[in-house]
Parts: sequence; C-alpha cells; structure tokens
Amino acid sequence: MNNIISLSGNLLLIICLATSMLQSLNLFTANSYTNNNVKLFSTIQFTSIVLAFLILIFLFTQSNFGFELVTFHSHSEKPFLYKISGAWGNHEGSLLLWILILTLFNFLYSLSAERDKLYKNKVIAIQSILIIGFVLFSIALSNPFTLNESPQSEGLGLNPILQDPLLAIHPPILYFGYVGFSLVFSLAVAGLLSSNINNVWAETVKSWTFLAWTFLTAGIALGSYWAYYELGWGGYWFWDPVENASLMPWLAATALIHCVVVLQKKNTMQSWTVLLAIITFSLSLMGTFLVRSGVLNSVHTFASDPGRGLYILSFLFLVLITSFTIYALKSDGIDKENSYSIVSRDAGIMVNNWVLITILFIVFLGTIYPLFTDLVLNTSLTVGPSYYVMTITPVIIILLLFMIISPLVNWTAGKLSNVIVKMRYVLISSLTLVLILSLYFFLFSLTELTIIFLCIILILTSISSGIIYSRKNIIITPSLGRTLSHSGFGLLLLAIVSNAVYSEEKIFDAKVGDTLKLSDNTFRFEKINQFEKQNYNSIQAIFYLMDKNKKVEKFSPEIRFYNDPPTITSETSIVHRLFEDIYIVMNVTQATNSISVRIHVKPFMTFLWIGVILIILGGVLSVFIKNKKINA
Amino acid sequence: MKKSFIFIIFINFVLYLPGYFIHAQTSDERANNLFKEVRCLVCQGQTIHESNAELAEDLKIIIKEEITKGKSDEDIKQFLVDKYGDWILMTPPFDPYTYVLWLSPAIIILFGFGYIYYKSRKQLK
Repeated sequence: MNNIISLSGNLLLIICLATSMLQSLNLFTANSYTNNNVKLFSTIQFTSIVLAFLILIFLFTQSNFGFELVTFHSHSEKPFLYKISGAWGNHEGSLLLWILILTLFNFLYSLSAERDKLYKNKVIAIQSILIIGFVLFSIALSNPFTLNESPQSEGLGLNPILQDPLLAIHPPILYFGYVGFSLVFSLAVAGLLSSNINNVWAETVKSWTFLAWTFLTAGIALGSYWAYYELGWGGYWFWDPVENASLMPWLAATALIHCVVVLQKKNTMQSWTVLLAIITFSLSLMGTFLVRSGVLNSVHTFASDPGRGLYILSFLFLVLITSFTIYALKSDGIDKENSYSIVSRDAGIMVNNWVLITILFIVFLGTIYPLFTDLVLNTSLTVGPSYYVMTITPVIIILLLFMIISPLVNWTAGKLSNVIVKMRYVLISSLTLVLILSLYFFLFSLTELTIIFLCIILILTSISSGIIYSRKNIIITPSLGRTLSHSGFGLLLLAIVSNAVYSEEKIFDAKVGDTLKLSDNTFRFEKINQFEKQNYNSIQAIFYLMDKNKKVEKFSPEIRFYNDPPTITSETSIVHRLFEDIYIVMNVTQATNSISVRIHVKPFMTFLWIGVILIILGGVLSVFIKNKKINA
Repeated sequence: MKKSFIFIIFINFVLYLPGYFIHAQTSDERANNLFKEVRCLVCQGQTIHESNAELAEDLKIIIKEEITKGKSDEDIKQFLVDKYGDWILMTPPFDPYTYVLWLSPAIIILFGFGYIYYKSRKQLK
C-alpha cells in the first residue's frame, strides 16, 4: 500500500514537471498547441501539487511511519494540529509547500485577464521554469515520499519549540510573500523580453506586488511575535541571520512597491523598477538558500545536506545570471525621459528608495561580514544588534523626514514653503507634544527625541492626507492605503524607540509565598503546579500582579519536559495591557528549593503590534485601490 | 504667528538638552548592560544576558566582580577581548578589519544621494 502511495506522490510531481516543461516552451516557440492551452496546463500543474501536498498531510495525520519524512518529523502522540503542520515543519515538506504556492500563483495569474496573450504566456513560461527548478530538486534531492527501508513503529517527533499554533501558519504566510515575488519576477523578465515595461504593465504588477508584500510583512510579523513569546528572551527581533534573510527581500520589496506606483502614475523609473523586481525575488531565493542549506545554524535549519545546499546555490546563480543578462541586454533605453526638481515627490521617493537599499546593504553586510572575516581575514568577530541599531538609526531619520515631506510635495517640481504651510498645524502640535514628553520623561536622548518627534509628525500628516474633514462630510482619499501603512510605520517606530528606552527586567530567585518588586509593580508567587499532558510533563508557577491586596493579573509561566524528542522548553506568560506588556519566564535551574524567574516590563508593545497591523491593512487596501494616472 | 513658532522650536531645543546628561547608573544596571554586550561562548548567537548556560553564569560573576573592583566598562571589555578575542563582544570594534563594515553604509548612501541630485540638475537645464 505504501508503495502505491509513494509512487502516486512521485507521479504527481512528475506530471507537474512534464506540464511545466511544456509550458516553458512558450518562451521559445510560437507552438499553437502549448500557447492555446495555458489555462489547462496551469490547472494541471496546480492540481497535481495540491494532490501531492494532500497526500503528504494525509500521511502525517495517519502517522504513517513507513515513510522516512513522517518517521523523522512526527510522533503518534503529537496533537492533531501539529501532525498537520508537521507536514511543512521540515525541509522536504516546506519545499513542497513552496512549490504549491509557486503553482498557485501561476494558476491565479493564468486566470487573470491580460490583453497581450503572447506576453501572458511568456510570464507563465518563466514561472514554469522556476517550477521545474524546484520540482526537480524535490524529486531528486528532497523527496518527501521516500519510504523507510524497514518499517518503523514510532516517529522521532517534531521539535517542541516548533509545536506552536502560530508557527503552524507562519511558514505558509511567509512563503506566500517570498513566492509571490516569483510572479512579480516572471512579470518583470517577461516584460523585458517583450519590451513592454510601461504604466500599463505597472498596473498589473501593482496588485501582485502589494499582495506578496502584504504576506511577506505579515509573515515576518508572525515570526517576530512568535520569537517574542516563545524564545523567552523578552525581545521581538534579534538580528538573527534568518530574520535578516526575511528582512532583506522585504526592504527591496518596500522600495519596489513605491516604484511600481511611480511607474504606473508617471511612466518613469522603468529600469530601476524591473531591477528591484529581480532583486527582490533573488533575495527571496537567497533567504531560502541561507535558511535551508545549513550555512546558518538556527531553529529554522532543518537539514544540513551539502548536496541540497549546492543545488539551491547553483539554481540561485542560474536565476541571477540569466535574469541579469536579460536585464543588461534589454533594459537599455526603456526609461522614459523624466525631469524632476530636487524638491519634488519624484526626488523624495528616489531618496527613500535609496535609503531602503542602504538599510538592505547594512543588513546584508552585517549578516555576511562575520563569515567573511572568518574565511578571508582569519579573525572571528560578532556583528550584534548594536551594529544594526547604530548604523540604521541615522538612516531611519532621513527615511522619516522624506516620508513626511514627499507626499506633501508636488510631482516633478514642488516648493518647500508650500510643505511648511501645509504642515503648520501638525508641526506645532507635534512640537508641543514632544515638549510635554521631554518634560515628563528625562530619559530620552536627542536622537530618540528626534525620532519620536518625526514619528508623531508622520502619523499626523499621514492621517490628515488620507482622511479630509470638511464641514459637511468626511472624505476618504484614494491614498488611504498609504495613510494606514505610513502611520502604522510611525507608530511601530515610536513603540520600538520608547520600548527600547523604558523596558525593565530583573531576575529573581523566588520561593512560594515571596513578594517580588519590579519598578512600580508588585508580584506574589502563589504556588507551583505539576501536571502531565499528552506529550509533555510540566511545572507551572503561578504569580499574581498585586494592587494593594487585590490580585489584578494572573501569570503562569511553565517549564515543559517533552518526551519525543526529549527536550526542555520554557513557556513564557505574558499579560498584554494597553501601555505595557508584563512578561514572566522561568529559567531552568538546578536549585531545588527556589525557582529562578525573569520578569520583564515592556512598555508600548501593544502599539508596536497595532503599528504592524496598520502597515498590513494598508497593504491589503493597496491591492485593491486603483490609482489615477497623473500627467507630468 | 511666526514669532511664536520660532519660540516653540527654541524652547524645544532647550528642553532636549536634559537628555544629554546621562543619569548615573547603578552597578546592577551597568552589569546588565555589559551582559548584553558579551556573547555566550557555548550558545547560538545569544548574549550571556539571555543565556543560563553554566559558562554564561560564570562570565556574569566575573563581570560583577570586576565592577566591584571599580573597573570601568571599557576596562572590562578589554579584559574579555584579551582573554577570548573580538568575537566575545556583540559590537565589532572599529579597526582596519572593520573599516568596511562601519564606513561603507555612509559611502553607499552619499553616493546614491549625489546621483539623485546630479540627475535632477542635469535634467532641469
């Protein structure tokens, strides 16, 4: 029976491979058979992978230990949800998920209405070439349907740190983002080949770009939130190479969405937009390579197989070389003449594009520099968070400045005096607000106050440009997407800065009955519970936040002892309040008569997540909002 | 209107100043800040602040002792670097090995801004 399942899984992959090869022919020939059946073939590609993926999920839910993958990554006693998510909580399965989304985007695009049919077929051909690359990899080097040589009675289990509801959906959402840019890439390369990069092209590309960008943003945010409560270090971003690998395509993509809008509205910046589209997807591929190959060591690395690393690396190089060659040959002269004054929205967007690229460069440099010094200079050094904070902070101030000014200046040529007149109320009110803040809190440094000041202005100007009040009614302008995202960004940065300044934490050795104090908060250590669950044993400490003698909030940090694989994890207990999060985590210690707990008070965390949600909502709106063209 | 505007800006800058005066740190705060600067030798990219590993705990004790001896933060860092190499500090030093790391972002951004400015002048002529 297992033989048949394995065979049909492989057969489905081969069907997808064969159809993709047929589709890719459209790039080279005007063969009428393949050209006329694009929709059908795209459906076959998608359906075959959906079925293969369903088979894999079925195998995991059945805990079928006849299969290698299930044996290595599942366990019969695992909760049902994690049996399902176990299907993509490993290298082979996540690769199949990657292919599933590749074919999904291909399928969705094949359904879309595109005027130029030949161009559409080219896009799908390029997308199919990408699919071929990944399906070959799956069949030859990462086959999810490999049978065990001898049947096993029990599996090895899934890393408990990955057994988390958020982490069940984090990879799919992140992949929607990463892979979404594959279509943007295909659209760009096909556009180069057909020489039709213009404002009409940008209109199609815009929705897909915003869609992928929104998913990528959400995926990164989910990962960050997971790290916040699961790792128990109190932070939400660690500048870990894997996090950086997802931030890099995001930065390129953020530059890209702005360029696509400029291209659509003004029909300029063609070559730069196309280049960004290629870079964004290349960075997505590189992210996959870095994470999956084992070059970087972290919880995300599922397998360290040199053959796999080599394959992804060669594939990455192939994609890079081919696309950049096409770019070099075809991008000459696609730029429409654009004159702009240095005081104009054009210049502002260009400046911020470059700021984003600089941040991207910093993140890239910081990530690879330790590898470089290790291999080339023969010295080891660590590039920690403070490097990123120190180098990115000045750049962020420029970013904020231009985020404030650019939307208020006219296209092509504007006047700074107009901007100041437009901003006068906002400027005065934010200055006053900062004045009050600086009187009230003496902890801020000049840099922090500058960022806070700019963030407040950004939020206020964004809101006032998106929603216009008049005596009679409230008008919501088409730039509402920008309003949400930009004010969300302001709020996010505001929260990050004040959180960095005001976070407090302390480690306590506590016995039952103790009272612990951290700044204005008093906690009581009530009791210890021990209990057994389906796949782990647990020690739970119960704390209460006290207000005089009243219990205000309950905390229940835990230490879990998982059986399969045997692992100890520490579960944080977080209470979200409007102005601060209180975060308690138990440390694993040898001591018998007391426990060690760390208490964090983290202000403005709620605002941080609200900021992120606003950014995402802005992205969602922008997928659907149609921009008006302006005449330069 | 204009006068009050300038006045508000002026008042603000005066009030920014207190931020310059760093408030005196307690030795606990100093220790905590140092813990965040020191890499845990046996963990994956964690600082000793985040880690409970035995080696990390030992380093924490050493650092606390050095603080009570009256050594400055810089002295303590240098002491650790001498013992374990640059790798032990989360922030890379500024020396010939890291000029590229620290300076290239500034060069990159200035280059881009220069280009954008140059293009805008050229095209307006």
